[in-house]
Amino acid sequence: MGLVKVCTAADVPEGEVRRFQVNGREVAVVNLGQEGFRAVDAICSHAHYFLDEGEVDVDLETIECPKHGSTFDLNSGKPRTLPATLPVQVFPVKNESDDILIEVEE
Amino acid sequence: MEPATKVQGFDEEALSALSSSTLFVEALRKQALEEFLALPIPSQETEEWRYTDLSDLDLSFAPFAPGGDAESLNRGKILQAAGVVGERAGLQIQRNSEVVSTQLTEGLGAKGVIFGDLDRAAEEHPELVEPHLHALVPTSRTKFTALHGAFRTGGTFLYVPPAVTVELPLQTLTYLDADGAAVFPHTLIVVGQDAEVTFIDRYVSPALSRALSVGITEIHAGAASRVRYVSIQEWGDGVTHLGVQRARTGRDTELRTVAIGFGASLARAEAETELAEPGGFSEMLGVFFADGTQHFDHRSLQDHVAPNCKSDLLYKGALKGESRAVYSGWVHVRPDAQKTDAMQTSRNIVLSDRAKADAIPNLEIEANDVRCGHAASVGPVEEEQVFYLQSRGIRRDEAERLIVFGFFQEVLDRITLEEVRDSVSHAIEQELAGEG
Amino acid sequence: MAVFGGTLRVSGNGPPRETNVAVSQEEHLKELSKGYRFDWKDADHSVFTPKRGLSAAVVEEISSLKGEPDWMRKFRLKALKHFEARPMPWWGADLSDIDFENIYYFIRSTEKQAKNWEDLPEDIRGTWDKLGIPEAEKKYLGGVSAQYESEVVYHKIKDELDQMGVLFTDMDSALRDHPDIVKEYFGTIIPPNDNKFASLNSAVWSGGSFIYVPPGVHVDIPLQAYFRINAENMGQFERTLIIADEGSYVHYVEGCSAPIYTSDSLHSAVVEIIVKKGARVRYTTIQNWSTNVYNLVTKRAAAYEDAVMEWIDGNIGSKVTMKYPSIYLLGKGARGEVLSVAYAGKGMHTDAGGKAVHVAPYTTSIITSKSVSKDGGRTGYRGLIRVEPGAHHAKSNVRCDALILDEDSRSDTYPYIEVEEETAALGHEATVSKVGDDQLFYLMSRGLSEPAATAMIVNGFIEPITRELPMEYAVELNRLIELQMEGSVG
Repeated sequence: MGLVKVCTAADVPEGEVRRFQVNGREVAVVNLGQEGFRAVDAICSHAHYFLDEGEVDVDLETIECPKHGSTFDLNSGKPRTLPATLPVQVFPVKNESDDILIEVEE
Repeated sequence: MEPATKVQGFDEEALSALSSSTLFVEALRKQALEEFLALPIPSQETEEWRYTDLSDLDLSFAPFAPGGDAESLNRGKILQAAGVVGERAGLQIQRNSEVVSTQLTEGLGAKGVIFGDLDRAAEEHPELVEPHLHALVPTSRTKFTALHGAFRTGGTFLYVPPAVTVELPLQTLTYLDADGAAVFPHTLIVVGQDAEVTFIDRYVSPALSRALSVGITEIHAGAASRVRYVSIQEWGDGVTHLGVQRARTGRDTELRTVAIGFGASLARAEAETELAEPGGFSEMLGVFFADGTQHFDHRSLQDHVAPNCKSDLLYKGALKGESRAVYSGWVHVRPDAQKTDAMQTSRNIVLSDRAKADAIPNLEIEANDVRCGHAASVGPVEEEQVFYLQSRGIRRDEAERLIVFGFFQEVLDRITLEEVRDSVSHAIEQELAGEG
Repeated sequence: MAVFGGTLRVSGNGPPRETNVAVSQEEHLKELSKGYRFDWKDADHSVFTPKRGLSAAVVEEISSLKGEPDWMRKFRLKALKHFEARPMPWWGADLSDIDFENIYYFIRSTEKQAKNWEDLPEDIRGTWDKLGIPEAEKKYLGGVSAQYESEVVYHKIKDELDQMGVLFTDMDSALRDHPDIVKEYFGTIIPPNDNKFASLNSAVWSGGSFIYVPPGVHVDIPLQAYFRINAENMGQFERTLIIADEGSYVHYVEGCSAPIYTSDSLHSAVVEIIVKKGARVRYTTIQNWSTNVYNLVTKRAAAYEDAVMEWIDGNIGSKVTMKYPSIYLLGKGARGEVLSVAYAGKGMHTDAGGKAVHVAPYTTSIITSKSVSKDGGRTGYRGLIRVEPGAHHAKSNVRCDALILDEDSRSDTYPYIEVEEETAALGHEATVSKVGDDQLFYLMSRGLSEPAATAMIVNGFIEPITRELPMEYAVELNRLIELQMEGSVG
């Protein structure tokens, strides 16, 4: 495992999500404001759509897939609603002086 | 391995670099190029391409790869790669984009049988080629059929006049060894009333880093003719194979096709029969074996337009490694096709926990006096059968091998050409012995 | 006395009947033979002037009339955006004639819900009498919910069920009275952006049933809901949520009907079911909308460890039906079953089926579909069996049979099988046929008329489904088939 810089805090406005390529993988970085940043696999486990094109719910700490409306818990990666049944991968995030770093497998 | 030529991609300039053909072919090419440029790469959003993703397909292939001159041609090597070639009434070899050799048994020519390079046939027999070329598979069907229409060179034309019976099979061997090339094999078969013929298309290549084959087969089977068509796809790794085969039967035609698929990294094979006149019969057999990371997308259509026709489809496939196979088939019975008898069966045996199989056998029935059915299954080697064989003292791996052979036996038994049957058995054997 | 039924023919309907007295079974059958027997219209009872068309203002108005919490208002508005953004489905039936601007999205028919039939306005009560609901309630139901246009006008549950802690109310009341449990589950099985019609329902939903069965409680007698559309160009968008807690059992039955109008109505429900560990839910639908109703429904259940979910889905009416009850088998050993019977007569397209998604190991599913098409009708089976990675030893069987009774009719079968597990075993079989001449000849040689013989064969054909229905429904369904097969009707 290693820490990789993905973006700066300013790159992802509060309550929003942006997609970055990290080691060949698509990662969605979410800014939950006071609750900090989250990073999950950007591709929905159900029908392979980009999650960053969906909406973030800051209160529930979920992200919604734009294709069929499944929502995923940003902390566990588990789907909160059907039709997705499999989790998306969650990456540990560090905010080091406004650099957003995530932990990915080498 | 031969490197392909420097030209890459498909545009007007690339098209003008091809040697010119007869006027109607030139017109067809031009129109097809326009279609190719206008049409999108098929999207997974559509039902037809739901299971195959070509959105990332890089089309920077060489549009033409020479077959080499007669001297440099190592015919032995090609034939060796092709495996057993039994006794033939005719054999044509296409290497890369060019036909390099054609032979036809003496006497058949005298009976009016025409067999050879499609481009040459277009020049010499336009009255036979023009009305049939792309009549069943229009260039506008997809971006890829348009590409084929624009850049096809070589290919095979077979014409059997009315009432002529060709006893031995005819064959075309398409051999590809130009890395980075795109080839467009085309087989156009026109069979007259009450004639009989067997044709084998075989596609072979070594492993390549990348190559594209977009093939089209069109079979016009006349009234009361008896036509057998076998395609054997044994491309090497690295090849993307997109094939469309379509046949139209006449009154009381008997058409039997066999599609065998073992090769390519990605293979999409569409096989269609239009039963256009009463009394037609169409048998469609399929055998495939996927391993490694191969992706197979097999599609079939039994299109019953006329009444009193019968069609029977049986596809059997095995999957190993991390391969994926999709079968989707359609039986369409149109309003006038009363007394249709149509059956469609797809069976898949999954030999690895990382392989994936999908089956979608569809029926669309618009007539009521019909007998139609379909069956599909996906499953593992049954433990009970393994246990039974083990109880008879057979080792587990041998038991599984026997069960897989038993699984394929039903379709092998229906392949009437012994030599094809044997080579398929041999290929299954090799697949079972191989890794992953 | 049965509470559903009707024939599908649209001709020969008399003027709306004035009567509001209960009619006997015999009178029902007499009426049945005249045509679609639910073709009476009540006077307009709306308690405020309804408006046609859909907008954020309409959604806000529905939410405010119901006095909903803010989260639901937001949920609706977001769903409306999804609805507007989504294209119409390109597959399935032809929906191009639906005019979303001409539909009434909310009609309130009574000021408050009744607990006694007598408290309802006279002709609304007469409608329920004619449908036989009060009588059925007395005889064999544990609870009844009666929805008229947008809202449930009558609701009652037997005292003993109430005492066992069974909750059975209309969905609007549930949101008011049980907000926590509704918020926890609402929209988790079918999210608002699942498909265009789920989005529509999520934006304008009203009425429907809410059921909660506590752990270990077996509800022995069925709970029933009946949905009636009375107004022309009505849109009915009920929303049902059923939660069967661990080890519990409930059987829910729904029926529906509407008068025949010259222009179309739309029924678009969302039904979400949660079947917890070891619980069992049976959901029976007898859909008998008149032939001017578009019936576009999303129904989905989540079944956990060793749970059993059964959909028994009879689609006899409507102009267009698109409905594929689905089961997500999320816990080890969960079982799912879909029994579907579809009929399509003149001008009808019934696209039905079922889906089973195997997520957990050792899960099983069975889908059985029987369809009959006649007089130019078109039936379709559309299904999906999917085995996700990890659902090892999943087993599924699909059986579809279609009968086509004349040369103008049509039947389609579109089954999808997707398998990502080596040890999964899946099978699908289908047949399409006509009524066999030899069978007909045999029965007629025994003195049966041709329609009677055909009816007998069709009844035999759908028997695997009817035998799973409560008896009253099964008898009625068989009678319906007999009437359908009569030359005078067909």
